[in-house]
Amino acid sequence: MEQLEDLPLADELYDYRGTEVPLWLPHNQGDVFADVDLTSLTGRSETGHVMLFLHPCTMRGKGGGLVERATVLHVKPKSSRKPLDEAGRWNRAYSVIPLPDFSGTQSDAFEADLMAMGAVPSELLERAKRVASFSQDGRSHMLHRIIYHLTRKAIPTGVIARSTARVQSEIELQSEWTMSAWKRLGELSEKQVFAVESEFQKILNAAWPEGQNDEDLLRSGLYSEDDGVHEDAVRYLRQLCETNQPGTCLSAEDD
Amino acid sequence: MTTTIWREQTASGLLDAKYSKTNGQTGTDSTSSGYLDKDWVEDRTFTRIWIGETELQTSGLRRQESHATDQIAIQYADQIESRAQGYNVGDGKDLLQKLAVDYAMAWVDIAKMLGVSVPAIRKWRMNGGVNPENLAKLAHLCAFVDLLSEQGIRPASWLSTPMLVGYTAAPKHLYNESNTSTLLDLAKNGQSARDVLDTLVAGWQEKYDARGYEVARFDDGSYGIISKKE
Repeated sequence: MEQLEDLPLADELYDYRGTEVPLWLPHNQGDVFADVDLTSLTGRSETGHVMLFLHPCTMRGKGGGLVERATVLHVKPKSSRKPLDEAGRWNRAYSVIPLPDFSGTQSDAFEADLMAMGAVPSELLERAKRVASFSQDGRSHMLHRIIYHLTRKAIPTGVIARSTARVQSEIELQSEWTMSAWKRLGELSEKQVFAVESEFQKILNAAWPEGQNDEDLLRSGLYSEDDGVHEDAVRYLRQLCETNQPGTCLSAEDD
Repeated sequence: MTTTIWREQTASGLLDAKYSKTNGQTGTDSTSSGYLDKDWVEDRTFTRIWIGETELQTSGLRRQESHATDQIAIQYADQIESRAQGYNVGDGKDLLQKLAVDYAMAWVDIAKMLGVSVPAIRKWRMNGGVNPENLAKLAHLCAFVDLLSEQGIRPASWLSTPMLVGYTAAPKHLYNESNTSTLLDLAKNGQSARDVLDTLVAGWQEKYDARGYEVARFDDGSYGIISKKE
């Protein structure tokens, strides 16, 4: 009998849980936020957890920040006593994104309801309210379930991971950029982190010395089908990180 | 299956016996249907004995090939280990730097291959503090990608490229310290992808089946999933 793929272990499903989600981490699909106004989702004046649903390609506007209104799923408690992390536990849960061992303390589980979707103003999804962020594997399983829910097609997570490799590479490099600025300049505010992310996006959208033509953008190199060109773009960005480029926009602001 | 063959039961022995009985005068009663029946029986017996001989020879050659493969694996393991010993010093930050900048490897791939989380790698990048066990793993990975690179291979791409059409398995999925000799042999075209998968992953056909889907680039520059054309 066909079924959805088994979830990885909870430790491999998430990169961060609880209060440990770093402020410099870019918004990404599957991020869970606490204390968000749920009025547009439930019709009631209440707050609760939501999961960012949008694909990374569509969640950002031109400046690199989130679009004005972001699509989210309502995240609901499933158990307040058990982690619900046994193998195969969620295989028949076709309408949810499972969040086993949600707080990492073996004492609770949540689920994001694919039937409870809505749009909220992006400013409600503050980084400081983020309580979970999937690993890349976790994100592939999220997409595996979303696609199945919407189309009844069970695309293997290995294929999904390959199709999202370039966009995940961009997010990984953006994380590295903001993390480098954080390391060099100390703790940054949410607004400053956004400024550093915009700085990264400006560099991605500019020509780069190693491009084959003057008009070649670094972004095109990063998304190139040619693995060699992609690797050159990665190398170039990492070298910029090493030369203390990240966060120079903040120094300029200070001046 | 091993078949024991006595001298007189070898294919050549059977031929000798057949011709010596008739003193080279074969076919005297070749028009008789009884002879024809008897001839086919002998033909089948002869063929079976021949198959047995060939199987014996093939199994001997397989043992020889397997022994040579083992010896090559030992040589590669020695090469990787001696290279890794040179790297097994310091706080690990320089090794992460080498993998990230020189080889443009993704953190997520490095983390997976070392069996740690991406946040752990980020902590090492920020603050160092790689423990000796993980430092040894990191040194081993650096040595392995060095040797790949010396083959003219781009390690980051090679490790992420599916090994067989129709399957998602890539060398990075098979990586662990005990498999690196086999993967190096694969990189040097010493073993086929199918043989390596058979050796390293039980049930790989099911586990890595792409189910007819493949990744393609769309005209907006992004990547998507399509059904594979037959």
